[in-house]
Amino acid sequence: MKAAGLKAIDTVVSSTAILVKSKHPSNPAMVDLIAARIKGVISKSPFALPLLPSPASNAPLLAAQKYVLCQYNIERSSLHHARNITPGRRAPTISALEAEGWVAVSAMVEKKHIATVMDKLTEVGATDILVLEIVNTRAP
Amino acid sequence: MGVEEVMDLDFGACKLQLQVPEKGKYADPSDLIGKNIGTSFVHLAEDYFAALEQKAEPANTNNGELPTRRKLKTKIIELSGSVEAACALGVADGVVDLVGMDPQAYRATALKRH
Repeated sequence: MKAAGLKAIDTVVSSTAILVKSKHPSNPAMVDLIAARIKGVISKSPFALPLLPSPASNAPLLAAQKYVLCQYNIERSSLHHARNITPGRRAPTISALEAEGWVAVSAMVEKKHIATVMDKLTEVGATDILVLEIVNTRAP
Repeated sequence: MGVEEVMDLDFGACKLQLQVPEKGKYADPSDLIGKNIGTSFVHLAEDYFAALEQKAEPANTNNGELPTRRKLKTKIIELSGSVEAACALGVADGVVDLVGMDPQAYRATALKRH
């Protein structure tokens, strides 16, 4: 849209992917089994979501599902740029590297922003960018 | 409806939006009444502009009769593919087009294009 020089001035319809089932399924047990399996896969995927029972539930995602851990190395002189890109939850963890003028940064980043964040980090000179899955957390 | 919602799959979110040239003269949806609108979603666009026109200029309800569905002033032009180019090409004044809301998915398609 931006590339074509356009701007949105109103929304006609909003849409998203929803799993639906028949109100009168011929094989309810099979429907439940398939739904349970999809939930099992999805809850481990980047598209993690809150599970049933309330279909319209917009319960917040668990932090472990919502965030990834992003680690990278960067020259200390560029650190202030990087801090703005990955502020972390409380603050980014900065560790010294055994290389003059370099630091290692570790910060939680929302999964849905990770691709953009990695692009921006590269632009400001970050290298060795790693993204790690968070298995479990007690972060608020 | 014969179906019920099981769960939100939380991907593939998109919006059908009314878009106009960034540097153009249109700022409000009602500015586009009577203009040319390019879209692949003809019926949704027609419903949208019917409501917009109705709101801008309520139909006469003479003798308590229900207002009949008026002929649309706005011209909806059916396009398929590259709808976003319609304004630049002078085919349309505005477009009704889909915009993906999932940044990762958007990236994926952007990468494919190049």
